[in-house]
Amino acid sequence: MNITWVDWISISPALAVIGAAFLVVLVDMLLPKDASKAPLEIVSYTGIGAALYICFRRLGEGMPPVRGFFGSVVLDELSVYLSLAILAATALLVTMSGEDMRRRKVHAGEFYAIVLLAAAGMILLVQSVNLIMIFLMIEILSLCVYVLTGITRRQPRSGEAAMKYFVTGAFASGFLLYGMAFLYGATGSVQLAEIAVRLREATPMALLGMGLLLVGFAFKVGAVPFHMWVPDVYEGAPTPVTAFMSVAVKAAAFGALVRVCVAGLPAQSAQWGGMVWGLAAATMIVGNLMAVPQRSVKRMLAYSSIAHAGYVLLGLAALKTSHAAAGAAIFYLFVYTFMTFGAFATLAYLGREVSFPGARAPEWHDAEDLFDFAGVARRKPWTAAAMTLFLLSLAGIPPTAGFAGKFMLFRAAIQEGHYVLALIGILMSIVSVYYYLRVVVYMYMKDPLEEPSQKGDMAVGAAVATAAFLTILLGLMPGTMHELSLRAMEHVGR
Amino acid sequence: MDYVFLACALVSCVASLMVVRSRNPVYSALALMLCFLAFAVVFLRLGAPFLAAMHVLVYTGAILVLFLFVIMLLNLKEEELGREHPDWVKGALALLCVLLFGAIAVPLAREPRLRFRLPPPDEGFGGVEHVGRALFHQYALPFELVSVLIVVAILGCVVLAKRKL
Repeated sequence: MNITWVDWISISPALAVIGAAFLVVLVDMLLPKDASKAPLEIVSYTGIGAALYICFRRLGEGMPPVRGFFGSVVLDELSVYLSLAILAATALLVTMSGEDMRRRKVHAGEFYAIVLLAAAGMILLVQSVNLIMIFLMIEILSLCVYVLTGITRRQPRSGEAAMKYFVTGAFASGFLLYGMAFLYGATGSVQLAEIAVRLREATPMALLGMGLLLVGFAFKVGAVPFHMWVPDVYEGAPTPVTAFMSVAVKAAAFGALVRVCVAGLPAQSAQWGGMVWGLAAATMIVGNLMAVPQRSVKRMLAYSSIAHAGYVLLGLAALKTSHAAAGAAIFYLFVYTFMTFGAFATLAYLGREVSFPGARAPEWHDAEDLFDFAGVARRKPWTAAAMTLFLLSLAGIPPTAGFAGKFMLFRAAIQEGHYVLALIGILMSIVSVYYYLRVVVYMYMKDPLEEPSQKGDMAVGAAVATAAFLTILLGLMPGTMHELSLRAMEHVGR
Repeated sequence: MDYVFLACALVSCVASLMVVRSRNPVYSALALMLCFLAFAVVFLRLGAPFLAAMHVLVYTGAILVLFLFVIMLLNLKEEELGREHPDWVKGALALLCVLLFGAIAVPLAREPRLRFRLPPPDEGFGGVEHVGRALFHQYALPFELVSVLIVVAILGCVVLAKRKL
């Protein structure tokens, strides 16, 4: 076989990240034992930067999609768009985790390597146009995220979360693979474009395959009723990892789901549209209502991320009539990346070391409980302001990015006649204001319980500040990114 | 009628039932081996000798032996295996499974694609050469990316299991 330049270009963003991951492992081995881990960060940044550069170059006007490796992957506008979100989340995670991971007693070398490999898997997942690639990339990213969840292995909570995630995740992968097997059986091809051509009507086998595939994807994005693992896993995982997986995994899995639906099953849009409709409604309602009684802010944010998966599914449910709502959903994913990452990163920033009686060394605790937020505004006004910004954005209050995202999404849904879903979404957003603002009330209007005046880590602070900046920027100037998302959705089926 | 297939299907069904029914995990593992061997024969009948050989080597040879090792290392005692559900619960669950199977199998039997016979495969289909060509030609990228998956698995094992890094 001949591999040409086109093939290499088609996977170049992921190649840069994979190369950086392997370099990180090598450099880590060569570093003296007590040396600073800064070189690892530099290597990671180089890989992410190179991938970001390639993606920005491809964003330009009228770039034709690049197909590579016999139609296994395509570098098109949708994949570039979502890769930007994934790479941004990865860069933010790398930024914040130098000192932070040392405090959590995590070995830096393997951590960066696994994070980068997860990012590479996600980038290739949104580029995949073939069922085998989709399954394989989902496995790569899932395996990475299982390990990252359990990476603070001295904490029983972290290990428990990793185990739960692994077992349920493996089960969901089984559904995914079973669905793919049925689709292959119905069409004789694993290529999405071929499947679309051969599957003119909805035969039982194709429907079964599609249903199982949707179940698998619904699990991976944490949609109701396949969301049971989300709160436990998000709460148990170390907070920076939670931040990363709540945004990047979702962006990648949604990208693959959109591609399967649009490129692979266009003739069955009535059937999957109905299923996604149900998923979206259930996810918005259950996610928001379950977030209300939570006393732990981390768990509340976990439920809120379920709810946001519902909003994105709303856009996908409207996809059967036109692409505008799905484009808005992709834009929402982009916006969601920064506000959710920022909110979780603030929990890590406000953390402190706690020494338990009998413990050998003090342990790191993130600010998780509502009481940890009492009076934060007095001690750390800037942090409180940033957290307020993220929460307002998540609730969808102007002039933040979350407002822009929700506005575009609900407008598109209403214009296309999906009144019920849009109504559920708007009502549930109003419910969400309650539990988001409760944290703000604690920060500004309650007295602090104690004075654990510990200085936050600079690097984590930098990540929080960057996320806050982007949340405001996308709120004030959503135009470019929104148009790009619309264009990405229009061209995805080609 | 394809009697070899019927026999294999019967053996694999009975063996799978033995996997979930037996109280002793070692018996379960051995029954699973029987099930895998029956699958391998099905692959042979379908004209996929390479797949059949790999199935025996990888699943029966490597993975099941690993299972047995782990079971023996854990050395579970009777009380650690947990309590069984009462019989009526098991019966109800079994009925549910049969109903689910029926709900899937009955519509599938009406699948139009199953009615016509596929053309016979090319010469050498399912052999080493054919599989190798597919892996290094059309599926070269997924095949190579499996190595990334394995690196992730190795890194993960080191991170999670090593006592001191």
